[in-house]
Amino acid sequence: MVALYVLLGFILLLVIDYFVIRGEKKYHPAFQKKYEVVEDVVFDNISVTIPADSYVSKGHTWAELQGNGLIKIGVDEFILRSIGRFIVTNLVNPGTVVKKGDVIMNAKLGDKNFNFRSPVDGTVNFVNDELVGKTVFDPYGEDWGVMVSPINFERNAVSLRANEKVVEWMKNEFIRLKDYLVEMSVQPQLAGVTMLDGGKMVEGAVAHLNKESIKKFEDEFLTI
Amino acid sequence: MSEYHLDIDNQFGLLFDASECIGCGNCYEACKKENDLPATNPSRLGLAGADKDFLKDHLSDKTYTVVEEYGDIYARKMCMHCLEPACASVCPVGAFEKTELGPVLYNADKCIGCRYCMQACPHNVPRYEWGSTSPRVRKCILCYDKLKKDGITACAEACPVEATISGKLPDLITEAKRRIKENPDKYYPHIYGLEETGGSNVIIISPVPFEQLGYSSKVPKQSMPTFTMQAMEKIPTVVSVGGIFLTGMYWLTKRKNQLAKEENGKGKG
Amino acid sequence: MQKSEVRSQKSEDRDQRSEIKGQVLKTGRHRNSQSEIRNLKLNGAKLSFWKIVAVFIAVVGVYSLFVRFTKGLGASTNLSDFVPWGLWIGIDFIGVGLAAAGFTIAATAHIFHNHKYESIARPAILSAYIGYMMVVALLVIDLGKPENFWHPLVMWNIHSVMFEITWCVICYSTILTIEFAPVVLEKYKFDKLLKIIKKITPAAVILGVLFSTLHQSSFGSLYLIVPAKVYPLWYSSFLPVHFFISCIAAGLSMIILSAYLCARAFKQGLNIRILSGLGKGVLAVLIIELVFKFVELYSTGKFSLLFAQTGETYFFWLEIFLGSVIPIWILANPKYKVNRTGLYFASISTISGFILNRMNVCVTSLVRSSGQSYSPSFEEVGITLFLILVSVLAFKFIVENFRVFEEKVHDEVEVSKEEIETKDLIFDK
Repeated sequence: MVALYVLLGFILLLVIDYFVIRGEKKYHPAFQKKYEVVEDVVFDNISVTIPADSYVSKGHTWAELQGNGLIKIGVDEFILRSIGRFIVTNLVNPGTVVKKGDVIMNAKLGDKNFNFRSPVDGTVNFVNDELVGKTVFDPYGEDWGVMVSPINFERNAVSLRANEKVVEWMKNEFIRLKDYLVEMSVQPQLAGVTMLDGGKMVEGAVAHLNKESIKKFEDEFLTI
Repeated sequence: MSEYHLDIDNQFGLLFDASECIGCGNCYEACKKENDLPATNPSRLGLAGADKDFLKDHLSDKTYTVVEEYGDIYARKMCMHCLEPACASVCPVGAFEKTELGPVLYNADKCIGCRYCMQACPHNVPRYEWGSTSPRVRKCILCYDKLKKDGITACAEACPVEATISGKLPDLITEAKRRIKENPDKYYPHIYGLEETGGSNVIIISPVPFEQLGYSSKVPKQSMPTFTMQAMEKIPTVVSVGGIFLTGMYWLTKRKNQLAKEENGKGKG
Repeated sequence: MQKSEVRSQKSEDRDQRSEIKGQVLKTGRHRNSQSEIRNLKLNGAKLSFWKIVAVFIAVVGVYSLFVRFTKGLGASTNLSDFVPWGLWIGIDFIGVGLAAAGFTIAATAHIFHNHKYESIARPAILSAYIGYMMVVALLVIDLGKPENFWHPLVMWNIHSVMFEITWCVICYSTILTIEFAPVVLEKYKFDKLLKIIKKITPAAVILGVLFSTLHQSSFGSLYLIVPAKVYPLWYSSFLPVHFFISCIAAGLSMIILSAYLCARAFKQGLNIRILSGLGKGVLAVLIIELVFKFVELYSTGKFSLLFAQTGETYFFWLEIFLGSVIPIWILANPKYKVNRTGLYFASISTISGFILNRMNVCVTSLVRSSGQSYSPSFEEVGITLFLILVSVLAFKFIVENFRVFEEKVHDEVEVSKEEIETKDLIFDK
């Protein structure tokens, strides 16, 4: 029987912890809704998670419909992988009316700035104050960006992708990113900066580019 | 194994004959007296109770031997003083010692109190002073000092009917065989302790199968330390083969990575 | 969108940030209003739930230790002459087994030069180190004469498995110290010593693997000498091999589980790629273990015991289902093997089976032969929980003060630099 007591004690601890987290209205890392994509060949040793049941925009921001009709918005993991460990500097003010493609979040890494754009039209209701000044760790959980009350979400949703479609598209985005990095790295002004190590992509390679190239990166990957 | 193989001819032992035992309890009393052990059964403590209450006593840190009642047969329980004792082989600090005279002795000063001896003993003999803050393992020591001096144990000396006799182990074995041979109807044809655990200094003969008297029949016939030695003797092989393998892998994978790096460097250039 | 339109927020120190959380909530700029009050309440409760539990365990633990050392083992435990080893030995087995990742990961990263796992080598070694310290502490508490704990160092009995384990654990703890030393040394910038240590690390890792192999298996060897006492379903002359194989699966699973616990406690992301790699390892080991176990049961003629209507049989099957069948099913399923929920349950299941296996070997299997049932006393449970609590706190303290997680290191440096720059930006405006 002792064996059972010890086993139950172990499981009980985990179960209580699960409910403590639930009580805090936080996500347990094991039960966050995410797709895991692990394909070494395509991703050059990079694994990516994709938010489940939410819409992902061309500009690598995701939108998730909440129970109360609001839309939660954040950035996807592609951004973390390509840019590196950036810091969110600013979020759009609550009350602002945003259109699809408007900047809602500023970020920086070193002296490089990045802007992320809204995937939907609507009015900003809440912003995640805790995110400002912080490095994004958990883009689909605690580190969401803003919540908007949408205007005509159905129309927006047509141009967004969800679930399996995101997986396919995401693979393509990485291939595109790799091509882009190769293209940038042959330019002479970038000599000395190695973004590709033995043909493999270095995580956070984009941050090493010069400002001009980053502008191009933004046009290619962040605009909607 | 050889370390445990002492000269049996010079070793003392004990023969207990269950068919002779009358359950008088003299051995029990003598043992208590010889080892300065406190009384542990109601009647001897001056409490009300049947005359033969010692029969209900059990081995403990205050009782090294007991007489148990199985119908009209009496059986003694105590340390068997194995020729190759499990307790001595498992003790991490060597607190148990198989002496040349035969008795297995315990040294409380060495003991760390891991109780592996109690776990390992095939006869469940060692008892612990659970109530103490510096507990010792307690068990029959075959009256080591008395044995050295007088050549006889207290229990054997006290036995009125030669149910328990002590002496040189070969003589005891001969005596046991003689008793069985002379009275084949009276005895179950087996000497308990001759083969069990590879032999022990205490041997027992009985009129009924030993299982019926609470002596475990599951006790292996080979000496207990061999079970462990089968695994322990592989250690040097594991260490040397494992060491060579790991070192080899270390250099191989390191070299492989180096080559891969050089290759990449060339590719880029 | 212009800069001026974007609201800038003073970037507070993280600690201050959490203090002003209540204020932020009141201003209604956080999440949605319905859950605000509820949130506030529960945030208050969250801060204290595990803390209250911790204080409770600490009080119980200190009291239990007091009873243990003033009144002795008899008064503080339910151990007896027939059950000389109880909960504590079982917890030692489990603790050492779960710390096995320390050597498997160190070997993968430093001997087989698989760089993928380098980032988890430090946390693995740290948890192994703390695990071993806990086990050693519990073993000493379990000793009848704890003041004599140093005796095996000078009084040798090379025939004793316990002696071998003692030495291996001592040597391996030393090696873990060497493996973990860089983390401490680099913080205080002992560069010379660091260089020496880095040089001897490969040798230390190899020795560490050898010592681990020896004592992980030797915990199984402890029971080789009691063939008549251990229930045949668990007794095997290959017990040391079983112990060794199962500790690898359990250790890797523990790394997976602790990644989740760290993600939860230190707000980190999960690297599913690494975790699913570990999952593959667990799967391979579990299959080997399961096949080996049943082939052995068959070849030694114990197959009929699997269907005997005894308590032992049920415990054995529960162990097999939890520790082998379920995790193998999850990990072999392409849908779950890279899925965070799948990996989480696979690791919990493997560890549960492992816990059951060790407790079965050291308690369940001996109940029949000892003829006495045993359940741990209040003090035994109290001291066990207390030591687990101390281990968790030690792990937390070290993670928070040293560079254990590579990623976190990177961020902290980055954050402090960035925060200054962000502030400048605000003043510019």
